[in-house]
Amino acid sequence: MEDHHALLTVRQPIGEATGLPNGHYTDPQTYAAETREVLHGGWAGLAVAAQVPQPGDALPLDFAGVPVLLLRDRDGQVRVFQNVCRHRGMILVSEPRRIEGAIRCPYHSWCYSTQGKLVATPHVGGPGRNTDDRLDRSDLGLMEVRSHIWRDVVFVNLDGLAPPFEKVMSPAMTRWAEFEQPLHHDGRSFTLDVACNWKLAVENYCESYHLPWVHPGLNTYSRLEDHYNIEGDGHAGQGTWVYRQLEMGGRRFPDFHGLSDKWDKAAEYLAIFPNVLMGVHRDHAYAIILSPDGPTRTQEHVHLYYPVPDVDGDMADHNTNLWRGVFEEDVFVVEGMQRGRSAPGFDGGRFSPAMDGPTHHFHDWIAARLGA
Amino acid sequence: MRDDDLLVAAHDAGDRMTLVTLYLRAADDLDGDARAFFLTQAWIFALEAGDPRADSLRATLSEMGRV
Repeated sequence: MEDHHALLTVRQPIGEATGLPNGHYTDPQTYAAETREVLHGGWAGLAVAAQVPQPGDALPLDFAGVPVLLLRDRDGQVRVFQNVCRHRGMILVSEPRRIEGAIRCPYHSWCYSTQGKLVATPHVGGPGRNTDDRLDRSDLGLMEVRSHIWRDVVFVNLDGLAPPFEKVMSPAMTRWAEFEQPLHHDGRSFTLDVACNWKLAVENYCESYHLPWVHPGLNTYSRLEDHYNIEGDGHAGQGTWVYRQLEMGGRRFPDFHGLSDKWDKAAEYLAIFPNVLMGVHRDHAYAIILSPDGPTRTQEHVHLYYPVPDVDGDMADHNTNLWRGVFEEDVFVVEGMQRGRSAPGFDGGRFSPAMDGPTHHFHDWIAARLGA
Repeated sequence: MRDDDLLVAAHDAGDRMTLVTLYLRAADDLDGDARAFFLTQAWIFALEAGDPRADSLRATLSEMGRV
C-alpha cells in the first residue's frame, strides 16, 4: 500500500512528482515483482540476432532469472526457447556452440530439432525401446518464447500475453522509419558490468541534462542547447542537432541510404522501454541490451552497426573506442545513484521540469506497468 | 585398447562420430533388446552430430519396432 501510494506520486505531473522509491532499486521482492510485470510481461530485449549468425548457432542466456536459449534454426530463423528439457528440467545447452544435428539433453539424451520438436526419447519405453504409448512426443517440444527482431535486437515476451510487438513499438518504429534498412553488425561488441539496477542505466541514458558535466568531451561540439527531449509511447530519449561524423584522413563511414536532410546533422538516442537503448546517426547505429542481474547489477551489452558490411577497420575500432569511452564515463554516475538508494531518507528525488522529462516519462511508464 | 575403453575415451572426448562407430560395432552379433540398446546409442549420437548414419539407424530401429 505504501509503495502504491509512492507510485501514484511518481505518476503526478513532473513538477510535483517524485522518482521511484528506493525499494525499486534495492529490494529483492520489489525486483521480483517488477521483473514479472515489466520484463517478463512485455517485450524486452534479450540479445541481438548477430550473436547467432549461422544456422545451428546456439547461445544460452539468462533472461532476468530465466534460462533461455537463443538459436538460429536449420532454416535460418532465429528462435528463443526456454533452455530446459521437457523430461526432468535439465539445462539443455550450457555453453555457446553450433548444433550440428539435434539438441541432445546431457542427462537422458532426449533430443530436439533446432525448431524445438522432440525427435528422440531413447530407452523411454525400456532398454532399446524408444517410444512409450503413454507419452505423446508431439506435446513435448521445447517451450518456445515469443520473439520479434527489430533493428537486429531480439525482443522477447516471456509470458506470451503482450500485445503484438508492432503494435507496442509502433511509435518508436514510426519515428525511425527512415532507418528501416539493412544493419551490419561489425563484430566489435563489448560489455560493461555495472553495479546498479538496470533502470538507472535507462534513466541516465534518457536525458541530456548531465552531458556538460559527465561528458565534457561531447559537450565541446554538442552543447546542452543543441539537444532536444523525446517522449513517446513506450520510449524516451534525446536528440542532437549537431552530430559530427567521424573523419579519419578524409575518410568517413558511408551513410544509410536515402535519409532525409534532417539526418545530415541530427542524431537520436532512444530508450526503448523497458531495457534497450538505441542510437541512430546518418552513418552508424548501435543497440545496448541491459541484462538485469538481480536488483543491484546490470550487464550492458553494446553492439554497433553500419550501413555496409565492410567498413574501414581502423575507423570502426576508433568509433567503438569513442562510444566505449562515453559509456564508461556514465558508470560512476549510475553506480553512485545506486549507492544513493541506500539512504533511507531519499524519497525518489525530484525532477527538473525543464530537463528531466524523459526520465520522468520512464518512471511514469514503470509505475503504470506496476498498476499505479 | 578394448572397445569398452575406447567408448569411455570417446565419451570423455565428446567424439560423437567415434561413439556412433563403436556403438554400431557393439550391436554386431547381438539381437533383441541388447542389439536395440546399442543401435539406439549409436542413433542418438548420430542424430546429435548430424551424422548421415542417423537416418539408416532410425530405419533399422523402426524395422525392429523400436521407434
